[in-house]
Amino acid sequence: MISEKDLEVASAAFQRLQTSISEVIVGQTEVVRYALIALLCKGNILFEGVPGLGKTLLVRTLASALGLKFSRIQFTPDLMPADIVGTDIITEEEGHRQFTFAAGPVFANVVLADEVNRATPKTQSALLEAMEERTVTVGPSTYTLEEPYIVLATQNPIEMEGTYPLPEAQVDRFLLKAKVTFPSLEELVAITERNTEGAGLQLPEQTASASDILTAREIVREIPIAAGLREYIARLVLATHPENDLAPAQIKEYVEYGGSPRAALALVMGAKAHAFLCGEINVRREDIEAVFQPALTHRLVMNFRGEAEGISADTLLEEVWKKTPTN
Amino acid sequence: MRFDFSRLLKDIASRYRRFRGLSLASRVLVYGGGLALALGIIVRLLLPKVPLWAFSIAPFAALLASGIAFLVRWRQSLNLPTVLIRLDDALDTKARISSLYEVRERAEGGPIRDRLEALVAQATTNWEDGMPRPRGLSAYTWIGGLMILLSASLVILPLPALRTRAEAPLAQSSNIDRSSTTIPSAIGQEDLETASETESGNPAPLLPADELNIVDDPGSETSNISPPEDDLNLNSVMQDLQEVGGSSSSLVRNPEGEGLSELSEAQQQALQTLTEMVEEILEQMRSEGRSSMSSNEAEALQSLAAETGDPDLEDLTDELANDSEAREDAEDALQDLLNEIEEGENSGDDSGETMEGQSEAEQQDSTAVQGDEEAAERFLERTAQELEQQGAEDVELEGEQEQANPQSASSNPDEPSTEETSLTQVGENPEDDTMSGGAEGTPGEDTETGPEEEPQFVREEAPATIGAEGEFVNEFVTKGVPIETERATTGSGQMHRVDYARIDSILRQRGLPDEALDAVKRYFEAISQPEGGS
Repeated sequence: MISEKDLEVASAAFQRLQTSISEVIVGQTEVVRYALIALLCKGNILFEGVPGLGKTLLVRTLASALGLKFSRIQFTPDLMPADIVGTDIITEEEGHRQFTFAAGPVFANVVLADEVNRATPKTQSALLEAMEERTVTVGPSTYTLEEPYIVLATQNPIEMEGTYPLPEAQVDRFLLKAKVTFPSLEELVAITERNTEGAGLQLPEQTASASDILTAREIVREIPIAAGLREYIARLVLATHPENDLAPAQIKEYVEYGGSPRAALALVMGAKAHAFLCGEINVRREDIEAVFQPALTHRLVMNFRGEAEGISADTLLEEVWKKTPTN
Repeated sequence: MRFDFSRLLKDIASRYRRFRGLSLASRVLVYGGGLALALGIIVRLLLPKVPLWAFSIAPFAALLASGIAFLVRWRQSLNLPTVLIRLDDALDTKARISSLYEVRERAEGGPIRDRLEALVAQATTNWEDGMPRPRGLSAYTWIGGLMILLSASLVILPLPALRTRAEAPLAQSSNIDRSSTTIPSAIGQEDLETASETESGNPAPLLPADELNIVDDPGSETSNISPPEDDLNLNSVMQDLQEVGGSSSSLVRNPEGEGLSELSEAQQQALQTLTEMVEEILEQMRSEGRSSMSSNEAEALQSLAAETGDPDLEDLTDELANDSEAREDAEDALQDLLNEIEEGENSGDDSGETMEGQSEAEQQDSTAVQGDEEAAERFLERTAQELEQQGAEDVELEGEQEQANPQSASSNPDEPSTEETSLTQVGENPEDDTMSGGAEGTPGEDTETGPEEEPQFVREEAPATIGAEGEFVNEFVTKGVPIETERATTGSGQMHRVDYARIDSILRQRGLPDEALDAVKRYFEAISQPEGGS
């Protein structure tokens, strides 16, 4: 049972966290918030954007502000699973040789899987267990990852040649998918100013601890959501299924598969975390709206026609949001 | 003061249920009221014989349905979370009320619940604003109530159709009371006298007018507007039959009609034949100047109607046949009676003083049997006197009966019924007795022209017109006025009433033989039967 003090401390910690991140990352407010939401929901997040938009910097800043262990994996086509999860190596100690597990970069609190779509599916799937179960199995041994744990993956929507798009099963493991957009004029000016003058870009001091994160996660789970809003979320998810009566015409026309039950969980938990970050103690309709697109955009599987016509999932989700009755 | 969320939930649920019930009830009220109003108007205009109390059924049913709708919606299960989220949206409380409801349902405490309660307490000080009266509730209620009132007020609005309706019970009551039948006295008493004097050979009423309870009824609109029952004679039955035959024949002529499929070919032919026969009979009656059809014709119609299988047609032809038979029986009986009287006159001439020497009782017995003209006149005079004496007593007696029968009395309190008027005038106008003299017929005179001749009668109905002084001017020439007679006209609209019970008792006191008694009764029944009329 959380206390009033826990509530106040956790809320204050995350307010400080957001402030410190925003001092480093210019703009990208929503992307930062999505990252925090994923952290609060015990989830993972997939960033999509062209190179140079600060995705890696964002993750590094987050890890620095939280005082957590950070690791970065650059995914390449020749990357092997053992390179990620680790492997048993022969070590010699007091004249005896033995296999000792050498943990891979996945063993950290904040893992940046950069350009995750460039590795082979075999290597990509090596992350699945870590992302979902928070464990790593090597040979006969299973290792538990330390909490808080979060995987932040990036992928480049351009230069698709030689890439391996993430399979649906793996994409579904990501709580949210955030699109990192190009900064505006003012933001770009501020970026150049911060990075080219003085001592250059400094990562923030630790403003929140791991215990704050864990307490905040507990609080987020306690945040109530009205039954009417829960039903609303269920209707939203069902509306992404082309065979459902709630689905708009465009969904029926262009979508092959809609959101999974995991999408509904992501919506509920994401809304709760969003409410917490906004200082609210209950889920509002605005919270659902805030996480609706990032929670569902990577879970819609287009059919051939949708792919051929280049229909955007975000466009379809906008339609779903408009057409689904609130109560 | 601690915030009581449970009480708030109860209030919200109660208000929601109430508005939900009222919303449906008001709509049902509008639809029901509209239906009741439309039904009332239709019934009022098209079905004037529907009793007045029937008008209260539809408005009452609409009100009842509205109440039932309210109760049904009130008792219907309530999805409180949905109601609360709507209230949250309306009050813009950011789903706090419904969230607090969720926390409370989970029976969890903690800082979140405390904070939520504090926020909800602030936000719900005027929570009724978030659950206003349903849109259009007042309008629906007013419109529905207005229509209910209008439909109910159709009973009391003095529309012409209602006046016609008010007469219906009177007409019905007169239909039931066969012992007292009205016949039109558009022929004034003086006219009757003139007619009997000028055309002495034609059959005249056996009893004087006062014995027949003939009264003046100038104030009764009923007697002037609605045709008396005796005028609903053979022609009206024929007309009904013709209408039925016409509608049936239209089916035959119209092969695309839906009813055609239900009729066999034999029935169609029977209908066609029946229609043609009705037309032929009517033409023949017109050409021969008859007012009734023969028994053969009636039987033929009966058999044809039976072939059609239409029960209405069969009833009509049965009535027609009975009417015709009754008429012929009455005429035969009357002829027999006149013959007997004639024979008695002859025998009286032979016996001379024998008749005068008889006792009074013997004279009474022999009056009808021997048929002495003077004796018959004396008999009729005595009968008239006795009827006159009993008139006043019967007025009181029937007045009491009418008090015991409030339906007829309350049908239209402003207008006295036909019975009331006639009875009152019997008591109030003793001078009406003078009219009876003219109506008094002389059987001897009947024999002069010969009873075998079928008197030719004219039946005419002149539409009622309103005179300069507001009186109704009607012209009726009914049976009893021969066609050769100078047409009687009157502006009084008088009505003649025949009290058979009284006639029967008087005739029995006079000691008439049974044959003669039956003959007299059949005669008056024949001329007073509503469908058989004159």
